[in-house]
Amino acid sequence: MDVVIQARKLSKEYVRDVERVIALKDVELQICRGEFLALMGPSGSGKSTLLHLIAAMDRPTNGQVVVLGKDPHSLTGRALARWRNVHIGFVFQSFNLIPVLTALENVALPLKLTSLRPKDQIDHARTALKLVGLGERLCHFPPQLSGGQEQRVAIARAIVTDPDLILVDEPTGNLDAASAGEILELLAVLNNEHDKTMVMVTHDPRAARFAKTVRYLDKGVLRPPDHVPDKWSRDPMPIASKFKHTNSSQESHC
Amino acid sequence: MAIPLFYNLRNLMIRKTTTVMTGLGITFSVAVLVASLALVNGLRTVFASTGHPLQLLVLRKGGTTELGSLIPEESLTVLRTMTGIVVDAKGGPMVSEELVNVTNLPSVDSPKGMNVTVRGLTQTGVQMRNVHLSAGRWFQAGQREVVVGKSVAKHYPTARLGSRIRFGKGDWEIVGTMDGGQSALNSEIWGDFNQISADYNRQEAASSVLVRATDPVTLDALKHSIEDDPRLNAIAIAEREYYANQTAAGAPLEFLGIFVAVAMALGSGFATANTMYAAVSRRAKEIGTLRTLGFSQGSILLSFLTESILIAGFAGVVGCVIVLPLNLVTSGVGSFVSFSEIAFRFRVGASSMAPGMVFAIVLGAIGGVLPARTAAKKEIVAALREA
Repeated sequence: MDVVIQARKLSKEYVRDVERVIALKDVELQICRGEFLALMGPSGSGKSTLLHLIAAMDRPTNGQVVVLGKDPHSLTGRALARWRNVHIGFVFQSFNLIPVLTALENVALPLKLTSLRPKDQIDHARTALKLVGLGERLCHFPPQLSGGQEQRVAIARAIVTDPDLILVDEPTGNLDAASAGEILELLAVLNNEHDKTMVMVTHDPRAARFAKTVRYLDKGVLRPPDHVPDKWSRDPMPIASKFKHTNSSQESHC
Repeated sequence: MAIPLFYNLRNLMIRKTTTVMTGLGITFSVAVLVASLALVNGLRTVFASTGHPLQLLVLRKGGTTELGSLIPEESLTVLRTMTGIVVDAKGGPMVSEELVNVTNLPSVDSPKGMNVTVRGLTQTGVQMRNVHLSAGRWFQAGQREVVVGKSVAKHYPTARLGSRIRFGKGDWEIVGTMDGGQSALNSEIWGDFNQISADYNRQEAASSVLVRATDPVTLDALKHSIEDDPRLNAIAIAEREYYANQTAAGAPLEFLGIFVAVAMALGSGFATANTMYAAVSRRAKEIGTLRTLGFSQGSILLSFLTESILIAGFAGVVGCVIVLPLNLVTSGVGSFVSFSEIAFRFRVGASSMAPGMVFAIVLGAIGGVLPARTAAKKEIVAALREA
């Protein structure tokens, strides 16, 4: 089986004021192609830090993370930026769309770094937006969209370059239950039908149910695969029952 | 690949007030600079348009101005017999003895009066200049008549056609207005050489003598002949060079303009830097996002630098546009050579606007480079958490 992520003894420490904080400690993790892993844990457990290290947005203090057979931390400058553009799609909790760009322009943004012609960039972005059910919101600016729609645009932006790995940081943290369900279902569809490898950080057990695998982080330590904390072992109300999948076939034109 | 330009343009549009306020400082700096350069351009045009390429102005050795020069009558006789001088239609040499002085006339801008050059010359002297009458007639020999340049007629209410002005020993009737194109001759009053010499008690000597050579090679030889002749004790300057040197009259104003523009630019530069630092701080999350999407530190630096230069560029264009009406303004500057006022028109053109635009862009680049560097240096995770 193709290994996409291999973390070995991965540690991250930083100093807050004068205090040394251990964000991650000796994390060993292997993720294979096509997997949908949910990383769970309370706030401050190191979930997002692990995601940032996988995306080479931050540097580990010790250990190594190999992504797609390469340690991205061995790259610098433009090569590292290029690596991120080609291999990683990132979805943020607060969407992080560029407010002065339309949905279509936001999605097309990572394609500016590719060799695609401008017309093809727009076509790709339009296709990605249609895939996430926002074909009719191409020319809307982020403030004109609902939270759920903004997150769909962010997902379209993450998948538009067809990356090998999609990293999702608390995707439902800023959404109501209905929108959250839609987004999680969309991520599941991308994993199941488009075979996208995903790592999703969440502290919501209901969100984690959409993943194929769940791992827990606690105070920077990654618990064994069979470890399930008591407070998350109870079966919550399935969030999926609260939403229906909407995939609009309508499309607007800029 | 760079971050798209429309990202910067829309950010500037959204922050309209900040953009305009930042740009205003640069606009005024550029306007002052372009106006200063337009002044010098105007003066340069006036002096560059004055003089004939084959004419030499003969002055007393050691003299640098017509006003401070004396050429005795005996020298004139020598000059008339020199070889290499053009002969006019009547068979005489093209040699013009001239008397130059100044008189004070009240002007539109200065009711207390400004110095105006009075030139006494013969018909030959008139023929040697590229001037024509725009109204009235030429002065007649032996008469107390003068012709005024068109700038004199325009700026000195007492020096209009048909009126009388007082200088020397009495009144002079203005019988004509002359047009010397864009030259400094528009700022002079011309009358009969003998009549004016008599009025100023200068019958024995002229101020200067103008001679025309037959061709450029002869011009050089003639110049050496004049300067080497011990009977003359004179120097010969190319007429064009003599007037071109007077462009220095605008130097103090040019220096003042550039000084004010640079002083204003210092403030504008800080304002630009301040605006860009605020933009970097406000858009920290966007910077983190762009880096996550794969844009390099260089792209971020270039994007913010471009934004700063865009503000300055727009401001520069506005600065150039607001001084365009100066093209319609005619003003005067005191010449230290003729000790009189030379009228000129401001010339706002490519040669003054191009330095203005370069100035604006450099200002934008200087103001933007440090904030852009700060943006590029931000750690991705730290930037994402800043908002």
